Amino acid sequence: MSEAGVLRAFVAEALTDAGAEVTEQGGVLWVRSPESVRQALEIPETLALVFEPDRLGEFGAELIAPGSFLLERILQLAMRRGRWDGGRAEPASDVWIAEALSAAGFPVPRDAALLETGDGVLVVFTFRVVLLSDEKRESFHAIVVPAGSDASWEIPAERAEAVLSPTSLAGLSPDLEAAHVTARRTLQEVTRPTVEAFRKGALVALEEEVRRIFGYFDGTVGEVRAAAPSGAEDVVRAIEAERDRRLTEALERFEPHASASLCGVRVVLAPTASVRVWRSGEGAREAEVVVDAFTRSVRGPACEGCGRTPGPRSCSPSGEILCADCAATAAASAPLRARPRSDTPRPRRRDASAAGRSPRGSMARSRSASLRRRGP
Amino acid sequence: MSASPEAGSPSTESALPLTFPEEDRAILALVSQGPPDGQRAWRLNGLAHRLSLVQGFDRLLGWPSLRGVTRYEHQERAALRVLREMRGRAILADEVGLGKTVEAGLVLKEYAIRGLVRRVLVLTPPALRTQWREEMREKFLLPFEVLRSVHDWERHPLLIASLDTAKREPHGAAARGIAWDLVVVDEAHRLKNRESRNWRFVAGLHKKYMLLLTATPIQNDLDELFNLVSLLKPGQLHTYDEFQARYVGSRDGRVPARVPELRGRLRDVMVRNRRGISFTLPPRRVHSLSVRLSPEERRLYDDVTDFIRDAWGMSVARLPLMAKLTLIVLQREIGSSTFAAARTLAKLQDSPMFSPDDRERLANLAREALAIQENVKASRLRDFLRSTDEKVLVFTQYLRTLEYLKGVLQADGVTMAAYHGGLAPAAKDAAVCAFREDRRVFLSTEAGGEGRNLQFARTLVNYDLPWNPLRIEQRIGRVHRLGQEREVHVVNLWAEDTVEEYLIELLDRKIHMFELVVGELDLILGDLAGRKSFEELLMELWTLKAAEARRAALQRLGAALVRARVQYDVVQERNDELLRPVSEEATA
Repeated sequence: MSEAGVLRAFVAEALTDAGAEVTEQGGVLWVRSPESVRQALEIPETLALVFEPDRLGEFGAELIAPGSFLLERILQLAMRRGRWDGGRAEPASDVWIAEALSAAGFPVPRDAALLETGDGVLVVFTFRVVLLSDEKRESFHAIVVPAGSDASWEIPAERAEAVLSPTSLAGLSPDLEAAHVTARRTLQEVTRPTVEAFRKGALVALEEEVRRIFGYFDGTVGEVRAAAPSGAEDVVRAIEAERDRRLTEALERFEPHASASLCGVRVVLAPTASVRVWRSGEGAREAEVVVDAFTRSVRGPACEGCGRTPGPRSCSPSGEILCADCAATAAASAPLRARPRSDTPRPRRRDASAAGRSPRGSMARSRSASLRRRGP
Repeated sequence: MSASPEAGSPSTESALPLTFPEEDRAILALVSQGPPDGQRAWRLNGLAHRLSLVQGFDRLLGWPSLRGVTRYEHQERAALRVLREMRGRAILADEVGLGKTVEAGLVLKEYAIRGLVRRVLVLTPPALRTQWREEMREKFLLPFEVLRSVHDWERHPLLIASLDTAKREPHGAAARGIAWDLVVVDEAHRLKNRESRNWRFVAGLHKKYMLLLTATPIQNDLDELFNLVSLLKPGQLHTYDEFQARYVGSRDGRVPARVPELRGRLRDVMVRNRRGISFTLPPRRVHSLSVRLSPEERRLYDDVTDFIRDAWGMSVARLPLMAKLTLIVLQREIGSSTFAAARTLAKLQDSPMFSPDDRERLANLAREALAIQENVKASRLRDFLRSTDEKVLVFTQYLRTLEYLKGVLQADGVTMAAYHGGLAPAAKDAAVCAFREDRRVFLSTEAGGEGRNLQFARTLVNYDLPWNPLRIEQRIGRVHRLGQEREVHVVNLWAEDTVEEYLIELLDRKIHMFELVVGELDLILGDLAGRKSFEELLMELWTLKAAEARRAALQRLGAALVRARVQYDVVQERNDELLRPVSEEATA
């Protein structure tokens, strides 16, 4: 979908959700708003909206595009709503446990044994992270925390928005404060590489600016003193004051800041299962893992790479249970499965003289020979 | 908003911990307070956040929301360079006519969309304040206000002020007391002298980003370049003494040394696009159509002029400003049409600004004007329109003249779209649309000169000539601009032996204004006569009573204009010589 198309779908749905009547006619969105929406968006009762600049002015329509004030207000309206939701995650099929295990690389279903099933409570926190210096970078994260656990991990935004069935959440009362603390800690971990890179970039720019300012103003002071060894103190003081002002300005401009604000909380009741899995490969072992129907992640045992316990796990081809970081490292440094064929020509042998001419071996045929063979 | 960094967790090892606002607790509290907001609202919340995420300056987000701004690659490239490489501190030094204002607007818009800029100050020459305001409002949808009083500094976060006003107290102190996110200085060559109040004022402003706009960073010597760059990034060209020793190769400060190194340093702070193959505008042809006024028009013109000269000459020192302006308007109106002047004359016959004798004279003049039913210039326009099949823009300064011409052309069966400041925005759009589609003539007041791209037409008639040459330039700029591919024809209608003839003499014959690229004229007129505008100079000489004195004054002003034009060409050469390679990648 084009950017305008995405915006059109969002605006239509957001206004409808807020209580407005929205109809589309020939690319123009006609909006009829109740009092509450009119006040929130500062718009008249009926309003036409267009999403392409060249259609601006048709029927006196307002343009909705990045940077337009009305879009900003609609975004704010949507952000003020929908900050808390809850429901039950219904598995799409009976084999969700097998699917989840399989997706994480575990050898199921043959070797799996169901130990226990029930409903677990998961809390999803969505955050907006803002990195600010003289530029700005933002990101959106969904962090899930099983209630009563100190484990938590990031899930894709689409997963956080998965459809839930309505259900009563009365009596669940997870400890949100504790879960929130856990989620914040995980968010710190997840965003650390990006935050560090941003911080370093900003500090490099700041350092460069500070060096230039010192070079210029202190150099100028030197020049002033050289030109008038006595009686230039007032000028020198003025230059130094200006230097300090510029330094403060540079610090304000480049100093990096990182903040994260909570966008919403979702309480999810999800079927959960404890499963025994028998890992194949060298030194095959047994392990107990937990899966849930909402995140479909496998968790439980400590990572056999780094020893950490929280977070989802996967099973490597060699049967190791690894956290996401170790799995990524293992994948990057995995030894090649087979020795690559050497490009070095083999030493000539009397009975295989042709092999030395082709790195592809004695069975290889030259391209021209192949072509000749195919013939007209 | 109070915020707390995450404490006591392994993540505090990070040198830059995330801070979390206390307000987050209010969202946690929602869970125990009431029913959920619902799945759709939850999904829309996430979508709203994701749609509004800012991810650096990977691209210009503002394009879709701009109005009437044609997308040019060189402008986009310039804006992205300023945002990414120069981190918002740059000299925009494009050659005249390539859209420095649009580039500044693009940068500003991107910062505004990303929430990095909230308080912006634009410093311009006085004559350009309104133009900036209109352009920022109409094209970039940024609600700028022009500074009117000292309270405006606090009242309007997006403010336009003339540098002359802003630096004076009490404005200067108010401006220095604000932390500006962005300061834009148009015609920044006025900051060439670091001993000047202008330079010191701008240097003393508290600012995060700064854009300096000038087509001629060097006007006289290399010191000016040093002063501009030091304002933006002190130390970029070393200290003053080092700069002199390294980069100045002659005593008069005009010849650069270590040129490749100097260019390299300038490249970090300066964007300069040049007119190349793709930016070349088609030629402009100027046609001068003079008319001889009818005896009735001649008599009225002379009588009105005599009245104005009498009033101006007798009491110019004591003349209230309002009366002075009224006389200037009257003289301009009578140059446009008798219909435009008739209304003002009728009003003035009751004005307490004038003596009873003057009021009686004005009443007679009003009667004379009302008695004239036809203007010769209109017949000349009709003849011209019959001689061509082109779509034609006809500009006049006055609504009364426009209404008269509308009647004349309608009677002649000419299809037209009328455009003036009194129309609602939708009606203005409709008029432009109608002209683009099937109307032959676009009949417009000055309002039509602002912000409308009409380059699908190429013939323009100045039915009357504004005394402010920049207004004429704006009219021409509607059709002779980037995107115009055909030769442009400018037709000037003027009556013999009137002040318009003086205008033609000065602007056309002396400095060939009608052949200049839009924007160049301002640079030529810039330092012409200190604080006096061209209009004031023109009125001063026109109101001289003795014909001899008028001719002599006209010659003096003409000579000054010629000198200014020559000086402009010299400055252009100087800038081209040093700065051309800075922009090598930006030429076609």
